[in-house]
Amino acid sequence: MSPYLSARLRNLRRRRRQANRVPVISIIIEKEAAAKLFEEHSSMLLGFLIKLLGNKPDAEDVVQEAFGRLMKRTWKTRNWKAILYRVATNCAYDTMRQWKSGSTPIDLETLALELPHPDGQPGQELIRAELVAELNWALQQLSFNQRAAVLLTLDGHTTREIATILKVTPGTVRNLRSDGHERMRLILHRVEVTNEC
Amino acid sequence: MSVNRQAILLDMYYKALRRNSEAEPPEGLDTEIASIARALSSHVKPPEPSPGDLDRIKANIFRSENHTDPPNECRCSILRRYGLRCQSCPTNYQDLDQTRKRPNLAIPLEGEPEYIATSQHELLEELLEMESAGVGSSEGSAAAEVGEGLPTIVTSGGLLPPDYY
Repeated sequence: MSPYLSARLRNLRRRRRQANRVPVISIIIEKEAAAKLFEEHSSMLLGFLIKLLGNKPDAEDVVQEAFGRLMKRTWKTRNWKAILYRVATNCAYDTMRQWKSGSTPIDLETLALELPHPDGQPGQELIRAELVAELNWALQQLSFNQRAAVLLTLDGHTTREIATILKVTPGTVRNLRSDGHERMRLILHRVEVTNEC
Repeated sequence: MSVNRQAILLDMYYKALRRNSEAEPPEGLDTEIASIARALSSHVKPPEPSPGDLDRIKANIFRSENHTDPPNECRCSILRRYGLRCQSCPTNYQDLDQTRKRPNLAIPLEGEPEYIATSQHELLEELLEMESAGVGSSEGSAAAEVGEGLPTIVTSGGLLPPDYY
């Protein structure tokens, strides 16, 4: 069977499973449960938000606001991690909307410095640093949803989880990711041409 | 090749990369897109925040969070109407002693509605007396159905379940 057909078959099976599920009820997250959620996911969440927003202070504020919002209302969910990421992504979007156009506080140095540095030759290290800087720059040029889809994929979330977080269909997630890569390719091509000139 | 197919192939490639960082891209996936995906997954890792940062954020979250706002489904307003306290929302409860003097509206089961102002405390005492005397439904400002548990009051707001006492 072709990959396309097998993917569609998987989708159909998933939808059937969803239809047979017992409905979930609204519940309030308790303080202890929220603290446990923080222990388990805050590190990854903060890393994701630093990449998404491009700077650390805003990312920290968003984590704080997201937990505040999470504890102030009831939620219908089984997957608290996805809800946490969704709330945080919405908060991040609100934060970005508050930025004035043309003055986005993206700190590319922070992004580059936060990256792990494996052992390597000095020359290779320089090439790698350049590549990372270009990739980070290209990532920051994507639309909010495209960047979120790509970064969540890199964090190890499945397409279905990303769909829950961004409140879109899995197909839309695939398209966002694919469009994001296509746009990154164009941006990186432009960077190469500029460097050659 | 259609964009949808490229999107599915890219999805498959990311799944393969999650299992094995050296995985080959699936046949049909654009080579440049595949190289970007490989570069992203190998070089762009989420930064590791310091434990100090996380401790500071955690302290801020749980210090500022006092649950002062009632949750959406809190029944405070309903309970307040009957002068009772809310269990799930300690900052918003109303003490029963403070509401004893508050007039309570009750309607009879039969006949024309007759609104009689009486205090919550008096009403409860009256109902408990009726229960101990073994009186069933009666005419008056309130009707008590004496069963195994506590009485049920019929008010303008409808039936109040026994657990409201």
